[in-house]
Amino acid sequence: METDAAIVRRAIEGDERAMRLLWNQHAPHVDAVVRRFAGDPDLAEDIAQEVWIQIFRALPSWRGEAKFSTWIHRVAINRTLNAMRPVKRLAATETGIEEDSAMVEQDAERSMLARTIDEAARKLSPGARTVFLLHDVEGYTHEEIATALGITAGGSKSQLFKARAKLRRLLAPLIDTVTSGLDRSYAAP
Amino acid sequence: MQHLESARLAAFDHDPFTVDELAHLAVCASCRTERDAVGQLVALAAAEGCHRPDAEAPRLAPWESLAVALRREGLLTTGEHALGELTPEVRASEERGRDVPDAAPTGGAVVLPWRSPAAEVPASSRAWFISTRRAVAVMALLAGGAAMGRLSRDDQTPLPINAAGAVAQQVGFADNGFASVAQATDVLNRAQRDYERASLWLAANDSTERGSDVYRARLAALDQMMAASRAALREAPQDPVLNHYYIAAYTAREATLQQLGGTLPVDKVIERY
Repeated sequence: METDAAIVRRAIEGDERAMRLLWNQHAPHVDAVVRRFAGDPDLAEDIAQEVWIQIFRALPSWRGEAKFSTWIHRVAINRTLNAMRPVKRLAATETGIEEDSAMVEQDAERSMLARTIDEAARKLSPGARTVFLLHDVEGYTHEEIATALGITAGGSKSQLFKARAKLRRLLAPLIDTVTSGLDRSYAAP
Repeated sequence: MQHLESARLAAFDHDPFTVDELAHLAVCASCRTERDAVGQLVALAAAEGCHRPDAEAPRLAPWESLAVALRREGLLTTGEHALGELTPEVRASEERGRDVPDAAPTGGAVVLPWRSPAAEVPASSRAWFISTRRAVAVMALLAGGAAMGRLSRDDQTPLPINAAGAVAQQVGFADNGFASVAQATDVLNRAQRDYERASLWLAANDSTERGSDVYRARLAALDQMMAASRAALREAPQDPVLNHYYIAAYTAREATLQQLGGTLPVDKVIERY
């Protein structure tokens, strides 16, 4: 069986079969990354091809130090973020999501609650979603996030905590720890 | 002490709680619950990152359109399209990418893999284009078969059906037969794809004007083909070759009907042919 290195070498040379093989092997993974970070199915379709082009363009930078699947995962994230940037979809990165009142959801709002992490994350602002996904889902450090998004590490932390607080409310049914009727904002000291 | 803010609780794994905060947590079940809930959220998120992607999900960027873009970018320089050496899993995966009608590039245009980037067609024309492609493919298949038959015989008498295998051998892709069903299927699929590519090229580049008579004759022939293949399917409903023929003939008939319609004045509709 041909090694990743050999396939990549041929792909760098422009061999269609090798490129197609890489696409076949990694498309589910790359698509999942694009879908998750894009948040919107139409946007995901819009940028997926560009992400793949950028991945193939970046192939020579794979030195074999990491597994190819790991490398392509990171590249897919970076290129997805890059592809979203020109259309200002990350413009809200440094702007705060609305301040959480920390109130438990009322019954009327329960229909808005999400059933999955991805579904809930789509309800966040693009910037908060990106920071949350990078840190809590993908395991990036705040310094890495700051570099990737062009923000400060402190800004990344701030976005993360607010995103978590909002997600905790959105995912109440999943987390199943809601204390019904409790209004913590007005609790006495 | 007031309840801890949500954002503060959400930072539980970043900034250690102060003595006062810990004291509050010790006596406040609500804040403990919230802290534990955020902990669960973080654990869920981490688990989300470890999920295997859904291999059955439609591809966002089908290979055909991606290949065109890669070629345009100068990243793809060879023209290898054969799938014969790929594994069945890879082929199945590729088919998933190919079968996604909406996973085309943006802007309402569909980039077809076998055409130059300038030859993009509007999305609204895609269904028609695919039908035409199939129609042309089946016609090319028929024409190719006829040509092979003519080349393989000195006289001009029609070949008997059971001579098809001999014709195939004469054109040289199976000197010693096939080693397995899979190998034969691969060859068949590859040939079908080659026909489609060649046919599409012809469809895009053959500007020969044809009158409605041509389409009427083709329709009559296709009707005969459909009747014959339908009768055959009654005998062998599971036969893949017969099914292919029937579907291809049906598709070609639909496309030809549209082509015939295109040759008529705008105030005329097809009532018979």
